Amino acid sequence: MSYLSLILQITLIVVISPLIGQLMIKIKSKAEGRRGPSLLQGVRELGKLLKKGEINPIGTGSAFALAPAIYLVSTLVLSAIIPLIALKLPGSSNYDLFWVVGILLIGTIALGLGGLDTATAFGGMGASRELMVAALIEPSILMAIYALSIRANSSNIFKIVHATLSNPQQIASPQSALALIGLVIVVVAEAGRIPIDNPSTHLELTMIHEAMVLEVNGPKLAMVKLASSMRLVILIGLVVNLFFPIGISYSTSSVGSIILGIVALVIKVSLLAGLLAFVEVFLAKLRLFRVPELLAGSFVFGFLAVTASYFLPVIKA
Amino acid sequence: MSVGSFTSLFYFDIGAFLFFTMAIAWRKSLFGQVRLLRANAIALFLLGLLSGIYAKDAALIGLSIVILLVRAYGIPTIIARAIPHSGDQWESTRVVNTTASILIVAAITAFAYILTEPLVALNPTKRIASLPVGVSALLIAVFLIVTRRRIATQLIAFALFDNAISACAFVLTEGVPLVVESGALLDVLLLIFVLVALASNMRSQTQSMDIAELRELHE
Amino acid sequence: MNASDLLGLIVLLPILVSVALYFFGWNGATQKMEVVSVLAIGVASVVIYLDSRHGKLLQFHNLLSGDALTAILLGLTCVVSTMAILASREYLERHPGDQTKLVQSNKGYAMAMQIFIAAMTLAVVSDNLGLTWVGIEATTISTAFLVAHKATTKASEAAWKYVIICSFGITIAFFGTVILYFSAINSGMSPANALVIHDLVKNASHMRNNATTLGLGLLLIGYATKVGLFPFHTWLADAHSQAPAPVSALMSGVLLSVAGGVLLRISEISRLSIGHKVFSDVLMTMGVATIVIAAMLLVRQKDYKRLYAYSSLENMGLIAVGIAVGSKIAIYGLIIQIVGHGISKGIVFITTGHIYDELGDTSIDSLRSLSHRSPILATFAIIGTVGILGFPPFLLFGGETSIAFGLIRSHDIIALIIVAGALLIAAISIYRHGIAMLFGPVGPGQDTRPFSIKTRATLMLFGASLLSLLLGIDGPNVTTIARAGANAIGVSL
Repeated sequence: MSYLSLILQITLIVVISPLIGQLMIKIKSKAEGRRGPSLLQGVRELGKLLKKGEINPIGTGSAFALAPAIYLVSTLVLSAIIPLIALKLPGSSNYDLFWVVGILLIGTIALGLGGLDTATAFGGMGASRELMVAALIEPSILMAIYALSIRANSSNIFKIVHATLSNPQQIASPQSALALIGLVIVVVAEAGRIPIDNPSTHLELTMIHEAMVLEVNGPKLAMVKLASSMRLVILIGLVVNLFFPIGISYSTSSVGSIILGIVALVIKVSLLAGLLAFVEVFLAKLRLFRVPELLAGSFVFGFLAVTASYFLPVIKA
Repeated sequence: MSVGSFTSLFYFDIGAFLFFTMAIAWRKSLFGQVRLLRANAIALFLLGLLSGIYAKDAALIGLSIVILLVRAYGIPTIIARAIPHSGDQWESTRVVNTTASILIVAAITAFAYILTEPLVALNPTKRIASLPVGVSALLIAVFLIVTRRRIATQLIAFALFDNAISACAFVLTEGVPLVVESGALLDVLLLIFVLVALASNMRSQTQSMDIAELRELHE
Repeated sequence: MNASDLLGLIVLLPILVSVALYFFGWNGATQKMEVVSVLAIGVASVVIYLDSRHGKLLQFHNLLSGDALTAILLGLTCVVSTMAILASREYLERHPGDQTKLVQSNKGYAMAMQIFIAAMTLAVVSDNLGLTWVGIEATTISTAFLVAHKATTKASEAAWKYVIICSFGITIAFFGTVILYFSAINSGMSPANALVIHDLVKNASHMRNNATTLGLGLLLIGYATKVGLFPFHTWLADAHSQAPAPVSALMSGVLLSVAGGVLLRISEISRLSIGHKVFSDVLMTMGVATIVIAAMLLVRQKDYKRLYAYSSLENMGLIAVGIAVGSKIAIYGLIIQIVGHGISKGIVFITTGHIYDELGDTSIDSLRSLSHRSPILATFAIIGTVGILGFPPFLLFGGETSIAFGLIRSHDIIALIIVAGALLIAAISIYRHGIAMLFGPVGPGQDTRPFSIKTRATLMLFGASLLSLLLGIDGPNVTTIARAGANAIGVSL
């Protein structure tokens, strides 16, 4: 049953991520007064890309060839090591938040190398920007993780979520609020959304992620697109479960609780994704020079969360 | 109100107080900074109100309402008059750039924690444990006074400095005696008024809103 | 009426006068009221002193109190304020500002002056550290208008620097007050008494902890800013040189010393709680550094108002050294120093004001052969300057030697050598500049017309000079009064 639920979790992520991505576009369109594409548009695009043939730019080697696959596989691994629908997944006692950071970075670097391999102006520019953002995210995400680990005395995701479940009052503390703000900024940056990057444009010199994968096409592009939307869903799911683990099933023994876990996850992720999309309507993309300011801000939130965890005593109910 | 929920609300409010202080270090728009100063003062008012309701102290509640009027309405309104309504409304000539400022602000909070440890140890209650937050706001205000060059920002930093001291007073002692606090409020209000008057004087004389231009007097 | 109500009255009276000034304008009647409000301070000073000789401490609702030190500072306030108010009449006649603007009008000037005097009086008679703070901060606000009264770019700039630096320092002192209050309450004092200076002194021995150290340290920094001690001295010369002469006289002669008096009170609390060592080491360093800086800046000074401003700085450094030594003879010396410096500096600044009114320039080079152009002004300049240099028979001689004795007895020989050396350099510089201004040959093309001075002004300066001479000669009485002041701080040898 436990391996079955793991497979269920991975499948769920793969299935819902194009839908969630499309949901965000739909909400943005509605908020801007447009009708927006149908929710299935993302799936249709993936199908279309998979049917297309492949063109490899002249002179590209294995970096370009392997990048989408590594990106997708790393994301699939990620979806297996984070408790999203149930806590006690196989191997969950070994999965650390630091692993998450590392695996996220593997995918980013693979894609960055792929972008450099094309030797075009856009690929190189996008890769260098993406890696700059990744490097700036790193300290913030580590700080936020550190702040969360203090609470549970461990950086193991299972233990952190478990600690939150057994003492929900500690969520209502400034340190949690600070860590949450810090992590949300990180997620937005990592997923390449406004105000760090604009995923819906190919026309500006300011684009980051899309510039990096400009030369990728056909089934490879499908992989990259799928993995990107999966990453967003996984990260949102992670934040949601770290701070509001309501509904998550503790063990994998009962079918009812697993189903409840799935439903809860889908609702929570859709809500937060919808909220993100709605907020994006009011934001403009930051100039690249101001991105470090925002990420420094998220670092400070993480840092404050850490210091506050040390000097503010935990309030127990 | 129970001790637990009071402490929890108190922490959140003082956290918000610090957040608005830090946000001023980030914002470049002068009017934006004034709005953040207002928010900061409202957080201060809530701090007093919470303590007053918790301790059932009518004088403290009254004092916090006066704080709301003077610090959240009076002072920011006066400072806004020092900002030119046409022309440069941005605080762009900084001694330390924004990213570095934000990181220094982080370092300041850690420093405040070390600095206040002996004080907190003297009377380690849950309320006094949040003293480092107040002291951080204080030190951030000092940092802003030292590194910002626009007259309006200097005034804002000055008002922040004063708000932070009041916040520390609420954390440490539920506010200093009423006579002192009201005298202090009046003084700060007048002080900001004097500074704004001087600033408009200087602007009409030198056409500048940058204190780096003050170079007439020197040895 | 109770004698202790007098304490409240002398703070209230100048405020009422400023209200009257607002409604009736600056005219013959209100001008008389100005003088009355100041003379009341003198009366209160005498009453308080006589009461203190019977060991009685006047107190007013945990807020105000009067002991011998209060009486001495009030006496000084009365004398110098009278001089400043009388000299202001000449100043306002010579410099009529834009009467349509309250800040630049005669009325506004007189009102700010009265509020300034009320604030200083409050800081002196206050027995509550919070109220002291309010008084000192109010002096900053009221003098800001006075410093900027001339409405020139330079004056505005000086006022800006003055307000920013001083109020920043004073705000630090407020934080110190809060922390001291916290520490006092933690040591078991009731919230109503936790800021009362006399109660703090009684309870100080229970307050030996880090919070007290921090609180007192912040108070020291805050009030040292207002005294003008290094490294917070930068505002002093600018403000004093740009302010109207009577205001400079009052700021330099009284305000600095009032802030010094607050430091003296705080030093008593510190001596009885955390021990004198930490506090005095810091204060000694600041004081000695201030004297050295002042001496260095005096050597190549080009502006005679700044020259005297730096001389104030040097004297304040000496007072800080006196507080730092903290023995009876040093406190005794610094009290004499405060009084002597106040009156002599008043004479000097008002005299320079008259010179500036005639000359229209404050640079030393522009002023030559004063002894020919105005023997009267030259005489007063000499009396004042000799007074602040500490030559016998003036009071400062006694003050400086007593502080020097204090340094010798506490074996601070290094400090003594540095201070004596710096004072010597300062004296030589002032002497050199003074001789050039008094007797120096007039340069080619320089104006040589004689200066005129009104009889009224002459009489006032004459009275003040006579007072400063008499105080210098009347050793026994001055000694008794200064001893009583030192006793009020509770020091013993």
